[in-house]
Amino acid sequence: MRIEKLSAGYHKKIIVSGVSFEAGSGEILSLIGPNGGGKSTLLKSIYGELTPMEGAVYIEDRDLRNISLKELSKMLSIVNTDRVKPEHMSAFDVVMSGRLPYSDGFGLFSDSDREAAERAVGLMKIEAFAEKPFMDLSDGQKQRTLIARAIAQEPKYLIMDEPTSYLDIRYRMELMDVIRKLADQGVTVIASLHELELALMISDRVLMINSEGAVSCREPREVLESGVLQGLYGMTDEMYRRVKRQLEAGMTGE
Amino acid sequence: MRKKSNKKAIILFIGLVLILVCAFAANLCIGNVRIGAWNVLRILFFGEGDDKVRRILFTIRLPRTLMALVLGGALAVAGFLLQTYFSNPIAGPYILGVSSGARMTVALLLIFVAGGVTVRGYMLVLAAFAGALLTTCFIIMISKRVKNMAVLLAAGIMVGYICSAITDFLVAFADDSDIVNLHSWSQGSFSGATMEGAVYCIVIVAAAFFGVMLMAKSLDAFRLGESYARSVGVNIRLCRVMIILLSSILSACVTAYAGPVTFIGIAVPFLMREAFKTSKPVVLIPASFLSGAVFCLLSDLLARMIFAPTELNISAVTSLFGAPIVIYMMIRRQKRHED
Repeated sequence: MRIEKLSAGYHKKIIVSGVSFEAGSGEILSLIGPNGGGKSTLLKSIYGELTPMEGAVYIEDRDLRNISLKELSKMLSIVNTDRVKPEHMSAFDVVMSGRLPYSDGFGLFSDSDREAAERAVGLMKIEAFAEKPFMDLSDGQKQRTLIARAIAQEPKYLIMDEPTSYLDIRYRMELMDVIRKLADQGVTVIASLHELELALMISDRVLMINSEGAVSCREPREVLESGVLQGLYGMTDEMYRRVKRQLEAGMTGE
Repeated sequence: MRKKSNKKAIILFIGLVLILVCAFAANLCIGNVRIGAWNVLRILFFGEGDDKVRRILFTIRLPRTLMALVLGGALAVAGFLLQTYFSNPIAGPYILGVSSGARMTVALLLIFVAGGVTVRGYMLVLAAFAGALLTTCFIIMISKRVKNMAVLLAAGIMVGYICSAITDFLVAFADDSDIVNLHSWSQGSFSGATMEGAVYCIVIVAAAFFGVMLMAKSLDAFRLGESYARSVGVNIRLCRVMIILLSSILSACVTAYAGPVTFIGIAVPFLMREAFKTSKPVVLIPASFLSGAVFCLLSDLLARMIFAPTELNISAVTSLFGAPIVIYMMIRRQKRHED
């Protein structure tokens, strides 16, 4: 996947501009930056919900705009921040809906679809509430179900907008393991994260969006050494010293 | 667990078909002149029997029964479509103003165009279609500008009010004789059914139903909202336009041939969701059609029978049974969300 000079925004207002980077197979890229910096906007343009205002997204050397939605749905899956309210759907039904790109014309599933969904359920460890109505689940359980849904879609590219939201520390760490496992299988993961320590721990490269919508891309160790985080989040010297100490401890503690 | 629910669905479907057959038969047999079930069979399949009875059956009861069946099903499917689309269980052709639009153009026809000329059945039909499609196009125009579903729904209600207001203005300035015509039509009844009309209905509704079934997969994806639907390969714009077109064709057909029939579009899909305990479109579309047909047949039977020979309008009956179901539905939903 290659992003070239991408600018994106809503209603002619550019929010992120001039983004260029490449993501290879099995790479994990995390997206960090202050609130309102355009993390979601960038992700939406990467998975094609927003048409880029300038530049383009290439998936396997093809412009995203020339790839049909049907084809794209077998290559790329998403977890976004929408709050979904499906009625009369169990958690498993929600996971199954990730198999719709592979189902027949009426949306009926085959056994292999069911197996793929069950694998995703196993990977996200949501068996215990898989048969419960989705609407009755806690926010964290819903989030894990939606991540399982995206995994069941068997994508080559997994794009997630704040996948750790609503998850407590244990499930956050488990999610990191799952992401690592998927990347080892060749899935490219691009995810926005609030938790810097997780971003630095898990990613091969870190994309930073500042509040002006400018994006830079570095390796985790560089991020810490160069001190860009201070400017990125507009922290005072004192704040940054404390944050850096924590992050360094996190990285060496591996 | 999942195998069991499959079996349950099959049993429910068989049950629905059986009830439908019984309701169909009852509508043919029961009336001011009672015709025995055996007699009905003999007349239908062997062409035997008394001439007078045959005429009653073929020119009155059969078309009326067929029409109630097909249009009841059409209403339920139209309601189901709009509910899935707006992920709002009280969405329906009425809420979106489609029926009011149809009524408005019929009023226009009766009062301005037809002045003096006798209004034929098919003119009413065409007028209603034009009105429904006009309203639908307007809604589509709004839907292109507004992404938010709740706003679109509110816009639909407003459009409905505007159409009703215009209808009221027209009625205020109309001659009495014209109003009588409009009044009887806008009450909602299957009493004017003819065999020709029934055939048109069957063709239109069958075609639309076929289209809806083809959309089952897209509707399935829509349950998780537009963004996720898109991510599993659904063309949202096209799907949005198709849903609105199909649902308005279905509801225009109903409004044209029977006038406004209330509540079937809301109550029936809800009952089916509860009975089948699923929201999977490929199950619910045929289920809604079948039970909408049953609901409409029985309502029409009651409308004919309660104060026979005086006929009630059908909406009086469907409202009486449908409205409590909708209230119950809203209370249940509220409860479920509180848990």
